[in-house]
Amino acid sequence: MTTPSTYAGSEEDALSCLAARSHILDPSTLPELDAHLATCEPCAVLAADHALLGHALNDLPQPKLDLQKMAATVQDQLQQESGVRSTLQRWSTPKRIAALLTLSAVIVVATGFGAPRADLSVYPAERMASMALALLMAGLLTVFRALRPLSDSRATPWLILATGLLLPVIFAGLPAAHLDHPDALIHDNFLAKTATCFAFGALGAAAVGKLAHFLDRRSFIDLQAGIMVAAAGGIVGNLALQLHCPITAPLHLLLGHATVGSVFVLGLILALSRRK
Amino acid sequence: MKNATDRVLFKAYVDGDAAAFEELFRRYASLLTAIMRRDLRRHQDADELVQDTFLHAHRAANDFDTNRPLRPWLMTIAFNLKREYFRRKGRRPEAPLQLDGRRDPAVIPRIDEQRDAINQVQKGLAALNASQREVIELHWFAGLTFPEVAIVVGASVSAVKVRAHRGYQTIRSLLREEGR
Repeated sequence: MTTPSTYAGSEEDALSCLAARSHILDPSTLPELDAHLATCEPCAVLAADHALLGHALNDLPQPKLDLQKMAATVQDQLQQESGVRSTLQRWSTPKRIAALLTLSAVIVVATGFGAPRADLSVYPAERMASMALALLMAGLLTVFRALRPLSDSRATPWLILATGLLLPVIFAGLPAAHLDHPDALIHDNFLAKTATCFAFGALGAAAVGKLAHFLDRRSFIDLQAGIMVAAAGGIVGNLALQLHCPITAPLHLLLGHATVGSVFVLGLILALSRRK
Repeated sequence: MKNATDRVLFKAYVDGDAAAFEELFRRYASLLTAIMRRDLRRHQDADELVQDTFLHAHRAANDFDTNRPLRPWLMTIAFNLKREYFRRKGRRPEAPLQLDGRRDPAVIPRIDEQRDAINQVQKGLAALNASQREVIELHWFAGLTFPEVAIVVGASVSAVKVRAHRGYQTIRSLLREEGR
């Protein structure tokens, strides 16, 4: 709307100009708009329509409410907010994220130092570093999104979630890092060893998921937030397994390591769909 | 207490002043309930979402920046809870009750002429898609500016303006058809 003549006679443009009254356009254009309305009848009619619409919208009925009763119900609920979970929920979001990251770091570091993989001396250092870094980044991002406060309206980044779930699968699909250590090979008990790894990873994921559930402020499990938590837990479990398990066979990595996050996500989806 | 700003009240509430909470509840409960009931057929669910909003605001009090306005913050929580409600139920927002011709017994009775006009506007609102209706509700009913609406719905200011503009056009064209 640079000059009045640009919208005179065009309903589409006139509507745009009229919308300036509700700040759709730059308010500095209002004097210009008023000058135009004084001389242009079609636009003046539209202006009257919009004013009516505005009044009608504001005139919509308000519900009859017993505010005192509602307030009392909320006050009762607030008074019941006590205990460990309530305290954790009331922490600020940076503090809640820090708590979840601390637990994740404890799981990973304790595994890495307490029960390091036996083949570290022959495992390619660049490959180990790049895999650990990629999982770490994906873990950080999913933890941040998992504890997103409800006062943040940004959409859930499905790309982060997909990356978090797919990274372990991609790593598992790579050719074996090496076959130079006896512990890297599975000679027997494939299923038992794979199941043990899955259980180990799932334990770490469950610990992260449990704490996240305590830190989450919702009164129920929301699917999007829940999926993010499951993915974060899966990544932590994977990272711990990466630092602990010396087996390099792709099938073992796929079934015993990469499936941890996916199984948690699938389990959550199934549980929530049954609850409906 | 009644003249205190939202921010002052919220700060007082966080510091443990129960009267501040009651005043905040008085200011926002009606508005939030009206918005929730427009999208939810079950008034009980709508009222529970309003209560959840305040409960959540209580839990998130340490996240609130007292240098920022309270209204958009509270509205963002309320609208996110509403979105989660529909996700949980596996449904999309519903049309307001008036669409099917019945009268909502919970509203204050008005004279027929006003009621007709109101029904027309509600019909127009119901014809909008959820994202357009959200923007118009927040702008007209909640009194948020477009930059604030953009924060609440998680979109850019220009996208919000486009949604509002298209929504107004739809309502207007419906009102015109009704008037014929």
